[in-house]
Amino acid sequence: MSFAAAFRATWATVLTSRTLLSTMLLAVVLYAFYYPAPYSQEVAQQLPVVLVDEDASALSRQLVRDLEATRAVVVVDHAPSVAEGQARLRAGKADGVVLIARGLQRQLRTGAPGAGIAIWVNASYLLRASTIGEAVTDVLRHLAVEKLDVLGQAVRAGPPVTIVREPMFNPTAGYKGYVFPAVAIVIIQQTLLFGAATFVGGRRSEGRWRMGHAEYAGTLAAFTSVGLLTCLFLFGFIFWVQGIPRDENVAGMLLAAPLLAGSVAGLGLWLGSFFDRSERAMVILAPTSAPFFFLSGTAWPLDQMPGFVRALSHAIPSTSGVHVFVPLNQMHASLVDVAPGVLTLLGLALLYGGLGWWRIAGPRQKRKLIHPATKSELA
Amino acid sequence: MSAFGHALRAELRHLARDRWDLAGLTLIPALLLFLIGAMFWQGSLRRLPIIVVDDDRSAASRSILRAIDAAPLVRIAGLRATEAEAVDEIRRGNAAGFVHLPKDLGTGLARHRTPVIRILYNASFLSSGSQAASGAAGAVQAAAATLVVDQLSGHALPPDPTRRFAVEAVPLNNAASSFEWFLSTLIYPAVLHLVAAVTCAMALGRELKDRSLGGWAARSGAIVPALFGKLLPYVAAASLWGVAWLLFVTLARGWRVEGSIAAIVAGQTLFYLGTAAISALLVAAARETATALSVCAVYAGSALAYAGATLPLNGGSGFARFWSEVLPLTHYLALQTGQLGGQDIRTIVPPMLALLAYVLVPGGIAWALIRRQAR
Repeated sequence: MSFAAAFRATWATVLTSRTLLSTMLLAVVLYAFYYPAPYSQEVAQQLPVVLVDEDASALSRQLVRDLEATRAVVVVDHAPSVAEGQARLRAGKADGVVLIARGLQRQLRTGAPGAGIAIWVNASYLLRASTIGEAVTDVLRHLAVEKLDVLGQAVRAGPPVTIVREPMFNPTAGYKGYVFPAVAIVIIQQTLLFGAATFVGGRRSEGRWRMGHAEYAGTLAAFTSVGLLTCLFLFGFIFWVQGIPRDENVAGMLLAAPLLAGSVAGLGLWLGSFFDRSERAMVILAPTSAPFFFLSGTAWPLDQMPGFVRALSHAIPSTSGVHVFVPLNQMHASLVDVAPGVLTLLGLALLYGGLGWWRIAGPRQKRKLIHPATKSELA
Repeated sequence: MSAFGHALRAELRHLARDRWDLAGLTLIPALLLFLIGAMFWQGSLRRLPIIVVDDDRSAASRSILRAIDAAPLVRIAGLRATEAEAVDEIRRGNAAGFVHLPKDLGTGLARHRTPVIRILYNASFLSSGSQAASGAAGAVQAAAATLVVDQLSGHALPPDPTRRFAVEAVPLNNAASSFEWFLSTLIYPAVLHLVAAVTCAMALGRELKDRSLGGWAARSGAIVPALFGKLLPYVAAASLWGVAWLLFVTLARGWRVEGSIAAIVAGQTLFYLGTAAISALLVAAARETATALSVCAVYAGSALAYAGATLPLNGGSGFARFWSEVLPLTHYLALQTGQLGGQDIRTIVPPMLALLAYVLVPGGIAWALIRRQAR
């Protein structure tokens, strides 16, 4: 089969096979709306806390009002003692307990030590714990400045420096703008990987998975073009629809996208050639999605992983993909900035494309073609 | 022999023969769990690279530099002359953020002009960026306070009145703010959930003949015991991997489960049983393996995002909150996280009931569908 015929035939299979169409194209459309939905609120908010107000003063009441006014926490209950507050934390009724110790108001006026605020949080939920801690600290600090001003005590001896923290590239520091650009790469990879492996696995179960050189090249090019299409759909259209923060280097993305798509298409064809039937691809590869996302270094940076895990993670195209396309799409990086990742993707495209060729169209397989495949190989 | 025993033996015989089906519940989860465990081996974030733009170049700015570099959370990956050069380093992935020390920092500190120090961090990689910013901010704050004391050595330091109030945060469980404890305990049930879902769908899908489970049901005798027997190896494998993981994090990694380990073990067995019931329903309803597998990959593959364990869903969209309650992983993680953190044993009742419902409702519908196909 010629390159062009194989290219056309592969596309025809993708479009007419219900499995391939839903895995490779419809799934991408679904994920584009399904995945960002649980992150639409962007930040941790309305976390339930239980309040223990031992001070019962004007100041503590003001503190509670200010705390209620924040987006981060909701006071769901008042408890008479810390023990009862903690009991409610253990009963799963709240994410934190805030204690306003007796003498807080007096401390504000006279500077006498001894009182303060204590927070108990369930730190198994890391983000909830830090959000509650920051919200209470901020409210208290603002309240102190405000009240001291009234008392005429707000002398110039404030904190020695003002520290301003500013998020870059994702201006609201929202979760959607953080998670989705990276998840998009994993979506592109996994849908293409499942599709290509399903395709070859299915052909293998029919005993016609070996191809000539031109046919293999045409098939690889067709799957690469499917991947390219999903890249453009997500990076171009969905990022805009979903309001993902972006500062694109369009030319750079267009140059790098074929490398990502090509390396994944090659990997999918190569892996698929080991599977005995088309469904096998999904059973074996589907559980890899979450680990592949975390191995990309998005939530836990690559430089914090042990060396061999880091090395292994670079064999997965999405790892370099995240570190090439997030900078290109969100951070307005140049191709030079992401050169190491682009070169890795080029290497992976050659490696996996080559391995796929060697398995499916290589000379070793040609010899085998002469002998009919044994029954166990076809099963 | 009973229908249960017969189905179980047939399935075990098949698994002994088919290396791919066997790999799906042995080698694949082993490999993935090993990678997850290895990835978070370090526990907490340490020495995240940041850049410093020092416009002051004074003794004061140098001591702030030393303080930043000494902070456990961050390290100085380099000094750059301008903010633009610092941003380039972040684009290249060489730093998680940068600290800008302004001109006149030293004199400003001495004269109490409250200089402004800017910390910009990469929010496209939010977890490392914000952690690096917190680490740098803490170091700068402490160093600046010390500097003021040193520079005013002959004077009494006017106490910062806003610091009269101390906020003391006591983290219960996970005192070290460990990502290992936090993330890996979320990822492993999500992975095993998906493993159980696809292997069960594949196992039952193998029995489809002409898009019907009728033949299998007729051969196996009673449908419900046969389903149990057939899917038991997969539920057992996922549950045992879950137990192995719990042993790994507690015995090998030294974490402590504050609540009941028995409740977690019981909960995950019920969770994987419910997962199997859902897969049975999908195969019985779709009458085709590929579609059932695709639905498994979608619902179980993205369940972690909807579980509200990383970003809470409070204040989220109505659909997200509704769908989160529909997905079984949400309920299992509520149980697991509660017990890891030492919640009352009574709190496991609602998630346990929810998990039981996933066994009974989809399992019941699957039974009804298969019975109809058998007629």
